[in-house]
Amino acid sequence: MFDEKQLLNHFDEDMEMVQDLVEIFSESYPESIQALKEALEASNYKDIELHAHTVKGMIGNFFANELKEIAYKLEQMGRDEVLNDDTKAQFSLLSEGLPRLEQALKDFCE
Amino acid sequence: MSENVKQLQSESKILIIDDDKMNGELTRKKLERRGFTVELHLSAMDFLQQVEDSKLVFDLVLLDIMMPDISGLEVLNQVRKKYNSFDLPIILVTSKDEADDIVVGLKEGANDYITKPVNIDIASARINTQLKIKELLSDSLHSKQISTINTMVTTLNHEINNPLAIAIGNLTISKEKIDHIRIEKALKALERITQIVKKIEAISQGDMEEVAYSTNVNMYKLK
Repeated sequence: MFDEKQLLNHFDEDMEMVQDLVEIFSESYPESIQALKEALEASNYKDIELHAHTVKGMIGNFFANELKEIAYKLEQMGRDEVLNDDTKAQFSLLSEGLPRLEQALKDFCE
Repeated sequence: MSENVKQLQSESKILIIDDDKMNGELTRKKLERRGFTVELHLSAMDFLQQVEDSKLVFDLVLLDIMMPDISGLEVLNQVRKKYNSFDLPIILVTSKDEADDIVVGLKEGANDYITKPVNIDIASARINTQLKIKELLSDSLHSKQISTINTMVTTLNHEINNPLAIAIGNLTISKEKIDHIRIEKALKALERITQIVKKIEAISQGDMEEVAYSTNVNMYKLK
């Protein structure tokens, strides 16, 4: 689900640092995904772009490239003010993918 | 790494402004590990207040562009009204797809940029470059200051010589025959010398300020 080699390199091969960041990730992403959900419901394009961007940044640190691509698509949809079925589908993929990423990262840390 | 760079790194205080706690923390930890002194702010507001109050405690800022309360570009804009790119180097932290913002940011006075996820070797190198430039510039300003003082000494030397000649001349003549007008002239000349000595005292105490001479050139004058 993520590139282990790149991840370790990014974290200076320091598992303690990975653990710290996974902890921050676990604390932060539910809030961001909730904010993104609300922005989608309110058709607030600016907030869609912003929160998708934040999520993209989080995922980027772990080199989970497929999920990052989804967040990037949502960010672009916000920027281009596009809201359709695909937007909802992408959001579902993202919100389902994040807990799986969290679990995969926790497994990796053990 | 040379001792010089190590010292520069540990003595310089770096501020990271990033609403993304993960990215900010990671960058902070990695920079600290490389010997930098770093603080992380999740919002730009405290920093902007420092800028407003002219109470800057940082030597360089890593500034995230996309933030919820205020954009990095707006922060940059406000800072540049008060501090130029030599006073406070700012390195933008951006996503790869924010090319437009990068261009605007560099035009608005950002010193450089790095992309997320932050590659720490690139970040360290760019930070060190900016810190080095800042240090060199401050050294060169110092040497400019010295050369200005030298010029002043020459001028003041000349300024003292003239009234001194007047005072000596008038007093010498008055020695033969008291002449109140000549004594008055000598006193005035001595008074001018007193004023000049005061100026010299001010220079020796380093009481000078840098003032804008034109948009690009600064000069030093006595406060």
